[in-house]
Amino acid sequence: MTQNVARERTQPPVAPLRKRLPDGGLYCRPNEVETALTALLELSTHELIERSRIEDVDAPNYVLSECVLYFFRRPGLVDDALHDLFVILRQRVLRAVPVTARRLAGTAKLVEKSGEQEIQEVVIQKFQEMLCGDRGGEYDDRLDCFECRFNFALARLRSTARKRVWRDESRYESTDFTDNAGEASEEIESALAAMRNALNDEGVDFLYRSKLHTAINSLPPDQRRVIELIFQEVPIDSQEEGVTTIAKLVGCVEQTVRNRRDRAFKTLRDALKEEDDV
Amino acid sequence: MSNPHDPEAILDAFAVEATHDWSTLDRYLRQYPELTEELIDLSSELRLANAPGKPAGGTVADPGLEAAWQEFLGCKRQAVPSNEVVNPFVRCKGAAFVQLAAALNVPRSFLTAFRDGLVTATSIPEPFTRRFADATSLSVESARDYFVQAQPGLAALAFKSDVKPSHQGQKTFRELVLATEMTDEQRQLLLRDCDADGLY
Repeated sequence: MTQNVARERTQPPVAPLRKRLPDGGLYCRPNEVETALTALLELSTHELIERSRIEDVDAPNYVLSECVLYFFRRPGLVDDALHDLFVILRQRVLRAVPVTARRLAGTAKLVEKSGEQEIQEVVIQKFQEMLCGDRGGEYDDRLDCFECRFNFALARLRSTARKRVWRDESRYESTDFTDNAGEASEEIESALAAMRNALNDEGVDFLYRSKLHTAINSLPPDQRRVIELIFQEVPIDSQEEGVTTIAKLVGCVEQTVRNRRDRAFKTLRDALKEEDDV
Repeated sequence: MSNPHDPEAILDAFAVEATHDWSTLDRYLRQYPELTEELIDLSSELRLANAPGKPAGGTVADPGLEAAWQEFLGCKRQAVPSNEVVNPFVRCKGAAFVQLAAALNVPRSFLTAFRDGLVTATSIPEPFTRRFADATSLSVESARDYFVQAQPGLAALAFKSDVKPSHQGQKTFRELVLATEMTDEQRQLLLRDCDADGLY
């Protein structure tokens, strides 16, 4: 028998996902993933692997990570082909959870940020556990999330890993002292809105966005939550009954929320000014 | 299978939503207030994951690769003791049976013949066996073993029937395809399986 992805292809070409949503419905792949899978089933295994090696997401033959995982999970591949896809998948996970280097103050030495290193290790280990469990015969339906939206599922792993790092690095917990030396509230709100828009604007300088990205990742959890809710345009407080506010969601008084916002803003602004980040 | 009502499963569901704007986040926060902190943290993580920009190219150092591959290889698809054959239909009853038929794109009556051991094992083409194994989370070997050991009468005993059981002879896969009511497309695809495997 030839090693061809299409050799066993008959309808339905794409195996459905089995994981269930909390409402009981089955997970569904986005249309673009289903369409890509249908097209990829026409390829030989060799062609599939060669195309999966393409790293440029804008390249016409780029294979979505959701699809690489699909073929990896399905039986029928020989170990060599499986190994190639295994390496490709790990590389994609590692690239999506990067460890940035930082120049050690006063020296030319580069050091990796330990928290990020730990997050990367936890994420790749968790992914490995799922792959192993899936191969072991017990269908691991958590991998269905990755077949559905790979990067979002990775973000989910990162979020859990970050929580663990936060716990371990309790020194990063901020204290809620009152800081009156800040800027006017409106200016901060407006600057934060500009940052939020910049994050999603491809027209904004990549380096700026990258620094902002790293800076948000470095915020202590309580400040980061406030920033996320401000980015979601949730009001800090409200006199109106029934209105969801940041104060209610994070369970503290309005002034505490403002203090966290101000300190987070200062951290982000300072990070964006820094020239030493690599 | 994970429990869809576990906190982990709820966070998974939020993660794979198409958008993570306030209306989506608000819906989850109202439905699962006990997960407020986790949902906000995840929302922040998803915002960064969704930000445009290509991940850095080039090979990332992966010192754990070889050990991970060996570990993966060591997790062989679950071996079943040679004298024990797994009957996949035991856990594919009711809605799950219907889903299995849909996943294989065959009529339920066609699948019933496999459940009841009415198909000659040697006549079942390899592509179908592989799809069956995939859909039932069995190894291809286990699926083959099931087909070989499934006997008329014995297999059907495990399932409730509205009619009095009676002995029926086995059919070949091709005969079953030709004898079962199905769409032309389904029939052609199944016959193509036979042709691909040289089974006439």
